[in-house]
Formats: sequence, structure tokens, C-alpha cells
Amino acid sequence: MPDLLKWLSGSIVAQALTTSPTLYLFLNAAHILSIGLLVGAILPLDLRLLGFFRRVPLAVLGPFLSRCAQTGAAFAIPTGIMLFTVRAGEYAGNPAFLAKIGILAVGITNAVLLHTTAPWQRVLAQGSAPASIRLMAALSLVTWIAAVVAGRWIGFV
Amino acid sequence: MGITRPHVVLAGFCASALLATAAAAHHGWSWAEGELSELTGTIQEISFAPPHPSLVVDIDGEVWQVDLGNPNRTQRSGFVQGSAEAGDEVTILGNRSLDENENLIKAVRITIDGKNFDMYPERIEG
Repeated sequence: MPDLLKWLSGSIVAQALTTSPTLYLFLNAAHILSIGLLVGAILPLDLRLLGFFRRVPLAVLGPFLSRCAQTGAAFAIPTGIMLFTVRAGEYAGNPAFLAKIGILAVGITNAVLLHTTAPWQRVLAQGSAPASIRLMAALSLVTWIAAVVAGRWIGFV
Repeated sequence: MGITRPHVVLAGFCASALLATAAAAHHGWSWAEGELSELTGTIQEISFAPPHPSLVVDIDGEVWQVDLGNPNRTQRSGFVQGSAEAGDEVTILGNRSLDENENLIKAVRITIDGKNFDMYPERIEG
């Protein structure tokens, strides 16, 4: 593990980001934009599953917002890994960072379970969610907000 | 249920905001003393890694963390890779942490071998 962290910190990506503050700034912005898309799609979907905005059809909203959130995650994860490399050893020992990773694991597992459990298809068809799906939506809401807070906390430990 | 849900959401947001405010530390200057201090020691480590380039400095046998300017400010001050190396003597002008037990200072200027690197010239008096 320490070897991996050391290797990451010495990698070409880390070197480029350390040499060019502007490159770092753009990567940082890309990470924030990805998180914006991810959380911006997940929160309204969770609220819809919890029973808000009932006028908007879930069959339309569900697949669309899920896809938006997946796209956000697809960009947030690689940009996050690249940002991590610049101070890999330091972040690996940062409690807020470790908390964020734990929270993300819960959030991603929850999202995958939500999609793979059978009721999800029924939810989309019926337009309302059973208690199990509502519970997952509530967990999702709390998890992703907590992930944003933990992420911001990294710089304030 | 219909009534409590928005309250729960709102409470969550408020709690997050409170926690985030309470945690404010290295960013800005609110965590540091208002007046400038001057410390001299020997550089142990130099890191240019964003978001905050920093030095580890041995000052009278104690290990201090010296936060420099943001990466752009540090670069503009002229302090770049090769400007100094471990073992060099450095004088730091900056704002110390309000917590006296914390060996942390945010530099507005560092001086190495008679050369000044001004990270925050507007904060240096006179």
C-alpha cells in the first residue's frame, strides 16, 4: 500500500498537476462538474421515489435521471483518482477522505442494488415506490449529501 | 408522513451547513493569528503538490508545517522546483495558527539564502 501511494505521487499525472496549477484547476473543475451532474440527478430522483413531484411520470424521470447520474459518476471517479495522486499519502491518512470513500461505497452499492432488485422495473411501470425502494431512496439522499460534505471536509481537517 | 418529509430534508441540509462551517480551518486566515511572526529553521521536505504547496521545517528541534501560497501564487513568487532543497536554511514570515500547540504557519514570505519569495506581498507591512 505505501508503495502504491508513493508510485501514484510520482506518476506522470501527479507531476503534470504539480507543475501546472492551471491543469490542476481545470481537473478540479471537471470533478466538481461531474459531482454536480451526479448529485443533481440523484437528489430529484430520490425525492420523486419518496413521493414528491408525483405529477412527473417516473417511467420518464427514472431512466433519464439514472443515466445522468451514471454519466456524472463515470467522470467523477477518474477525475477524483487523478486529483488523489498529487498527495496520495496524505489523502490516504485523511479521516475525511477515508469517510468519503466509505460513504461512496455505501452510495454506489445502494444505487446498484436499487437497479438490480426486481421491484425497480415495477416501480417504473407503476409510477410509485414500495417501502423497500423508498428506504433505499432515503438512504441514497442522505449518503450523497454526506459524500459531498465529507469531500469538502478533506481540505479542512 | 407527507408533512414530516420536507422537514427531514431541510434538517439534513442545515446540519450539513453547520458542520461545514464549524470545520473551517486552513483556508483563508481566520484560523491564524492577525499579526505576522518570523521563524527560522532548516527545510526537511518541500512539496509543490496542489492544492497547497508546503514545507516541513525543523525549527529549534520542532517540526513545523509551513503552508505556502496557492500553487499559482507560489509560482509567481518565484519559488519553483529547484529554488531550494532539504537542508537549506529558511526564514518564514507569516501568520501562526491561533492554536499555540499546533506547529503550523501560513507563509506570506519565505527567505532562502538572502532571496525573498513573496507569496502574499499585500499582507507584508511597510
